[in-house]
Amino acid sequence: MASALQILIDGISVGSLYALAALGVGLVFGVLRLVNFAYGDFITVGSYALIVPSASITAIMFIGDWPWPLLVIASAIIVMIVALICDFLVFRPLRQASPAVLMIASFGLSYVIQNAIIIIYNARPKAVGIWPGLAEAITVGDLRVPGLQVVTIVVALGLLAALVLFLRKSRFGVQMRAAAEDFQMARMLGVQANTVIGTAFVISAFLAAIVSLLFLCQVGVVSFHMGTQLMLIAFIATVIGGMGSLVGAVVGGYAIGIGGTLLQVMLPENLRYFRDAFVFGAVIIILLARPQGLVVTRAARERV
Amino acid sequence: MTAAMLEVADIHVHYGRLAAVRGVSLAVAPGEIVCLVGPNGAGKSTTLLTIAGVLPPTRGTVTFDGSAMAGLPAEVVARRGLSMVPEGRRVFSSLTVEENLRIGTYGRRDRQAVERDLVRIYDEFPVLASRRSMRAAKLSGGEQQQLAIGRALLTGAKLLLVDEPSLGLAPMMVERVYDILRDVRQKRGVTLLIVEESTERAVDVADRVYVLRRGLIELEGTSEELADGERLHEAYFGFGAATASHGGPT
Amino acid sequence: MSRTMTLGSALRLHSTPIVLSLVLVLIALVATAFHSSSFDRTVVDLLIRVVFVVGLYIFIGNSGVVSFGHAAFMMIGAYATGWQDCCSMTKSFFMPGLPQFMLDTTVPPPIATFISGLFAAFFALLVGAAIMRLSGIAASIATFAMLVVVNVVYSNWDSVTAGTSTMTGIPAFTDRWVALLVAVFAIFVAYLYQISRFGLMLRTSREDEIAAKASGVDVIGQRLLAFILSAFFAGLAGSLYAHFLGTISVNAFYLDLTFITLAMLVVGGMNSLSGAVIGVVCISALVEILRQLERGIEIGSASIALPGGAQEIGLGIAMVLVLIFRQRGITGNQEITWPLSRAMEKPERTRDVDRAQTTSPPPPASRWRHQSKVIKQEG
Repeated sequence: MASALQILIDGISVGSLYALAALGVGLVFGVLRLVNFAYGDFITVGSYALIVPSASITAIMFIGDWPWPLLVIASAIIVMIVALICDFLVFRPLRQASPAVLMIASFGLSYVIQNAIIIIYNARPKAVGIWPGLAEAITVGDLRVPGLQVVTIVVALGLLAALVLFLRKSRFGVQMRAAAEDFQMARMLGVQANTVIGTAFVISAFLAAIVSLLFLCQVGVVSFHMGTQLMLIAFIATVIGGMGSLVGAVVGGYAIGIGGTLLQVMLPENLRYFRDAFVFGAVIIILLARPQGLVVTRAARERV
Repeated sequence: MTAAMLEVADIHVHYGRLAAVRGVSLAVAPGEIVCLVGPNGAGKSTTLLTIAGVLPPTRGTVTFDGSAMAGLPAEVVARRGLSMVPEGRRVFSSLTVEENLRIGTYGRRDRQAVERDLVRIYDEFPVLASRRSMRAAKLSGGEQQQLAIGRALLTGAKLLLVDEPSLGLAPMMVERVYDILRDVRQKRGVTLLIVEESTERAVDVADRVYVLRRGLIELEGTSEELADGERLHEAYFGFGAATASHGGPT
Repeated sequence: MSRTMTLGSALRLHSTPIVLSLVLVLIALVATAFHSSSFDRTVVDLLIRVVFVVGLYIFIGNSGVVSFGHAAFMMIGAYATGWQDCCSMTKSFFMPGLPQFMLDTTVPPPIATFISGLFAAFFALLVGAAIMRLSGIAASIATFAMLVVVNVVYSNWDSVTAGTSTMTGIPAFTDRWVALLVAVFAIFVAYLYQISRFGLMLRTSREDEIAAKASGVDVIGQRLLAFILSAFFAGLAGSLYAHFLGTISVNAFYLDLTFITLAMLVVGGMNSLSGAVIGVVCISALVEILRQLERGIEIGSASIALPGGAQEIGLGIAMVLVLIFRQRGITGNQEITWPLSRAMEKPERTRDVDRAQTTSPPPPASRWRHQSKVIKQEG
């Protein structure tokens, strides 16, 4: 019988993962008004980057065997390259398109990437184990918490802090914030559109890689659709948090993580599989009350 | 005869199938203050947006400092010294005053010049200095207008496009803003192309005035020539011989 | 000269649904002539897709809101059909969780189909009431979430849906004529809807939501109406599908179906009924060709084949290319009419200057903003 504190930490750990993913989605949305369906595939790529591209049934580790700093950097770089290529090939030609068209295009892109992964790596999930040490529990007093959860929370908080600093202090961060509020005006003052958008994609990709690795550590398996579920939750987090608000995305991520974990614990055994349905139901209720999201900022103007 | 700093030749601008600007030509000499006046819907803002590079003209050319500008993206135009103070000011409300001011400076190579310039702006706009760490959303309309002007100046602009600076401001503030604009020309030598709805204010501040109506230039002249206002009003409202040459809507 | 329209001119004015229906009749006749059972299957599949995509168009084309969730309605319709007329002998074995009256009753297929459509429409009413209040983009995300959730529920509710295994034993009711009939019905209903004032009101919100609301259009209500109507046809399509294959499984109604039907609508032209139909025909043809290429064709003594999965990638690339280069699709968002002169032109922007971050066109809207600013800011 897990203690309440343990459940809370569990929820915060899950929420941290969701918050990071939601940030990745929210950053690009803020700057481009793009709901990026391919974001789930960025996450997936982050894990597939660790193994040799081959259709064999078992995964052959490649980058996955490197020491962890190099592993993280290499995975992140690969996802960033993929993201920048996607921007260049698909989203840049569509700079003037409506958000609806952008969304459909990203959906198509997602379909292409997923099927490319299926062709290259074959459609079956493969076992990939990294950082087995994190599965061990850390004991603090009465608490036994899996190391992975602690790492997830610490990493998330660290990245959040870094992102806040970046957005506030660095010139790219300030330009991104300006562009997210009024892109055209920013351009009229000399802010370079493609630089700002590229920066958003790079950060978004970095977050995707981190989320991917943490998630992989947890599930131990790569599959071509592993990012889809996370992406969907990230989307929902941004919606309930308030589209266009990064704070909202983080709040939304934690809300779903903690709320979902609590539901998991409180639901009777036979209904546990339907936890997602209950979460969705809860989301609907929140949205009925506040369709504009929980956190409303002045800058959160949105054009359909 | 000084060469024009900005030369707009026969531009046409469309929104979808709607022609907002149907063949506008104008010129602004270095150090001049030129006003573009006209009734609502005349195409004044559209003209400025086209010069700024936000809207591509379907026809015609824009030449600034001898280089062709039409079709270049807005950020390139801004970095070449042509900056916009837009209608409604459009300050970045979630950024501080200082962040707003710095936004246009990242393209400038000489960082020391930027810092000097920033000090100078704070000197000239003390109200901004006293609020430098405040979020721009909290400024009053007049303060935001000053911020928008300072921000545009900090891009190192040689020519400012100012779209309806008096909008939404109390008369006293409007006076102040126009004083600032005159100073900008006087002390910094920055050229100004101002869109203004009121003919009186236009004649008061500008060296030359263009009257725009229904996407076309109706009248052009120095403010002395047009001081009595009669010809201005005719062109503005479309009375007299000027109307006969117009066809119907698009 | 009589005051009412002559039949001829009425037909010409409303020729679109007739032309589209004739195209489908032609395809069905070709299938009859061919006497190939695999071609027949392809044609029935195509006609069922027409029902679904026309349904999808009713919502997306008129509201401008993209729905990623309609496959859920198709699944709901398919399973509703299974519950009604499947395997009367073994029903209680496969789906013990169903209420007793359902286990005992077997509904004749045509009625089952109709009820399935209603069931899907009812579900759309419930979900739509909540999500139509969201902004367009958020609503689209919500439809995607709905798809995933319905998928999760149906996959896990074993006692009622037989979970991830297939439900077999559904009577074969759909042949090409039944499918054709429903497809033609869908086309006419979609057409009547779009020329009705409900359709017109909704389309105004597609162009400019704020102006529509200011003109008194109940945007949320109209979106909901279109959502429900489109779900009805998606449900019908699901039912037809169930009666066609005889077996259904949860994963047939998920992301692959969503993608391919969306691609059909996009390639054909999202904002026109003709686009929906033409898109289905063209993409179905393309898929067939790619499928043949994947199987391999013989050139001389060699046979070349595309790798498996090339079909999907080809389709994805096609869709993205259409969005980049010809956003308005094959039909250019115009309706097909007879004669081919543009009697039913839908004015579209020739250049999308007005995108999300661009200034809105100048007065009168901006004049409005200024006046409210004058009131708010003094000094």
